[in-house]
Amino acid sequence: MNAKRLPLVLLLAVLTLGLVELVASALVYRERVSDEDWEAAAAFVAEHPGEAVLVSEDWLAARAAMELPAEAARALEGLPDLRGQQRFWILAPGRRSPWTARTHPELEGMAAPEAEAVHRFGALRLHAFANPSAGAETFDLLDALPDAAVASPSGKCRSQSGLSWRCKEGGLRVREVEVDYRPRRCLAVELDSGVQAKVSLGAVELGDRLRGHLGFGDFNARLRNDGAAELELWIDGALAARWLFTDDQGWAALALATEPGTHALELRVRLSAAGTWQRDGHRNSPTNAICVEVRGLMEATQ
Amino acid sequence: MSEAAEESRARAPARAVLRSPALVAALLAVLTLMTLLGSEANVGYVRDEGIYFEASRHYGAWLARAAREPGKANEAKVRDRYFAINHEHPALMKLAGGASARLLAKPPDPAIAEALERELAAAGKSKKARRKVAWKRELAAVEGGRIPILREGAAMRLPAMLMAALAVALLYLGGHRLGGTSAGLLAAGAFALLPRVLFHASLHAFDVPIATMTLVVALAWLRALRDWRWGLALGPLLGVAIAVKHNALFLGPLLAAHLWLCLGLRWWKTGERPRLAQIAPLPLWAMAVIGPLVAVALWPWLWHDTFARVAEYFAFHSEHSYYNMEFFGRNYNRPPLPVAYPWVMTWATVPSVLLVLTAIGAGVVLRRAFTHEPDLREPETTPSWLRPLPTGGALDSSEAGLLFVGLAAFPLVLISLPNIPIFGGTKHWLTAYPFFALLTASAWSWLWSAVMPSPDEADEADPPKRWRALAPALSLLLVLGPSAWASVHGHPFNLSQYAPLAGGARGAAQLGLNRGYWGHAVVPLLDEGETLPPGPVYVHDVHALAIEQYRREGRWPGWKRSGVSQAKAALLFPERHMVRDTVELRERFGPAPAMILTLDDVPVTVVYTD
Repeated sequence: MNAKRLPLVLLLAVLTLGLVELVASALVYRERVSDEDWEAAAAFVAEHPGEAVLVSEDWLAARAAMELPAEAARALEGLPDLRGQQRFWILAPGRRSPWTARTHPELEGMAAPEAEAVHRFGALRLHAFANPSAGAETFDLLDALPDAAVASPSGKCRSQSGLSWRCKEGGLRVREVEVDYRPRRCLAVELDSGVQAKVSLGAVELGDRLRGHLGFGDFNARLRNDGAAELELWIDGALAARWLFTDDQGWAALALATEPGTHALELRVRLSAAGTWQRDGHRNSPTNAICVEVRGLMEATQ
Repeated sequence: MSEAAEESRARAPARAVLRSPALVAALLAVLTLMTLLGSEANVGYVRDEGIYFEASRHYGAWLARAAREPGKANEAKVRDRYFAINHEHPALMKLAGGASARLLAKPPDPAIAEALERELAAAGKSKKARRKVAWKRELAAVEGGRIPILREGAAMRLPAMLMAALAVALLYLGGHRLGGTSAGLLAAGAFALLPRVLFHASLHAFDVPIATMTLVVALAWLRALRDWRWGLALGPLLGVAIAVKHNALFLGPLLAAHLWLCLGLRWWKTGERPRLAQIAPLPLWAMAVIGPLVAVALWPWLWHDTFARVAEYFAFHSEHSYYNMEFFGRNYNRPPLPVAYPWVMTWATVPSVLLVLTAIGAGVVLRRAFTHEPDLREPETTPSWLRPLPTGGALDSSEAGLLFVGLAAFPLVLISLPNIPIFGGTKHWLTAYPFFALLTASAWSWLWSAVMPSPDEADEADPPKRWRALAPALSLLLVLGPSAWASVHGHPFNLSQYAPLAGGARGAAQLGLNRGYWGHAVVPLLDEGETLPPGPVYVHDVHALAIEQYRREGRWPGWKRSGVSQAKAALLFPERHMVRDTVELRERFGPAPAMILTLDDVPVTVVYTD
């Protein structure tokens, strides 16, 4: 290439790139999803109550919560995974795949769901999926809790409306907790170091798998406390499984093969070290909240 | 005389004026300043600014007192009372902000003065209580400035805007020297039109001022290589830079390394061994001796107990708190950030066409430095302690090229290092961008001079003279258009704006890049009386002192800052690590927000109400 050709090629390349960026500017620097798109999507979702809706992108979540019907908006966040969802929807922008870093991990290695339909609402797409690998849910810890007995080493914990308990060493409450930067609905356990909470659910209907998750809430606490959490499952008075988790595991999945039928189920949860270590030493607050959810599933026949 | 001739004659002075680079530079500076002044009101007060506003009120009050009672104001105990606040950062920009407010600020909202009067009445005859109120009155500057034409916040932001305007003027002059008018316009635009630069240039903060001062010191350094007067001036200039922000502390060692590299290259190419006088010349001594003295002189907090306070300053910055930063969907809150972080974020926030030009410019100047013969003209004077490189230092010299590449790369390399605390976002390497801009001008000059030869070298096959002048100017639209578009469209949320090839704000959100920080995106809400009625409001990341500034200007709509549980409404500024707050607000207010402020569909502020 002679001395004049190289600069000419480079100059043309630069100017072409500038033109490409101008065209890209025209495409990206505008709002794409209109109010009408949201209204149409919301009306469609309202016609399908009871089916889970997920959003494919974090940035869509707030607007979706604002626009979708109340039931769908409430369920947008907090799902444990897609294992119990035999049908679900994913709301995604434009031509983007509905399977993103936000939605794909929710499959947890299950076979890919079957895409059934795509409904277009302007710049929004609502993807319908059937999920044949999902199990049929036989029980859910969070639904069973109002009838549960909760105790700590110092005695029975006092129930408040069946969704929260006060113990001498702390408390337990059903709520959403930030785990690995996602809201998860779970039983949040906040007890002193080494204190074990026993959650006796009584007789519940188990399937052939017991699945659940454990995570550590609050990024500040995760940053400043590396304690481990221990979870034991007792079935019919016998220890069935014991797991140890750390906050590096994020929203850690657990699974156990179970004998289908009615069984007495008890969870025992313990955190090795509560509180956080700050610049000026240990403080009781903020503290790690252990976020636990467990469900019984019948998977074999699915 | 024909009409055409008359018209041409009438236009001649205008053309002559526009041919004066200094005048065009001044016009660009004024344009920059007017644009910033005209648009800053919509840029909300960021967290750090709230603190700097309060510090500026203290420092401004000290200036006023020093004018009234110089002796008393200079007593160590009295001085400390004014300068203790925010003493972890140098004082110069806050002093300038304070002085600007004392000169140009409108009086604060009458409610401020009324509240002070009530406090005074309540103090009764208690001397202690009355002294306390008097101190508050002194800081509150209820009488306003001498020429009250700006909001206090705007007046305090003015010095940083002036610094931005200075950078634009210098870049135009530098670019013009490298390749004429279009290269000058490119250099100025490649800096000032970047969304992040434009955003930070509107703030009462240090990031654009230190970028300007780095440019000033670098240009002075090039002159100092061959002119002892600039060598001497370099000391005070570096002192001013250090008094703006600590980034300048790196400049001395960097400039020394630059000199030694230049001397080494000359030795390698010509066998001319550097003399001792060239290795440790006047400019380095001026920076080492005068620089720190000027820096201390511009920071009254250091006027006594100097060594202990300087040690405290270094300790603060070496043990800087960890901030949270999202990068490719992961939240980082302790070092190391990935090495790629500043490089990817630069790509994502600076249009690629400018980055490619910067890379071409770097290639051109490095090639010149490492392959061309040095200037072997007989120097007018021999190298000496006063003039270490008498033939070097012109803007198109290999020395200048090496300096531009070094100062463009250094901030990004520094942030890439694994043991550097996570300071935050792109503002921490804004000091590189003036040198990116000069490298784009170098590239522009090289490209066009090769493609369109000068009239003396042109042959018949080359384009006509008119095209030779017009083509580079018209091409600027393609090169500067993307950043101009991004900045205009992103205002006032340019802290969340991304380059077009990164997909803008929406593309960046999809990539998992930081959406914004500092809780500034509230100005459009301040008039939303229906959505957010007066009462307790959880304001999330809006700093209490930023609220105080809005209040002083009568812009805060009567919301009372409160915790989540008592609040009737709440603001949320989405960031990855703020999901915890989202959860808390969903629990308190329900899942559906009442209102969302967006940039290209991407929420920058979410509002919840009962």
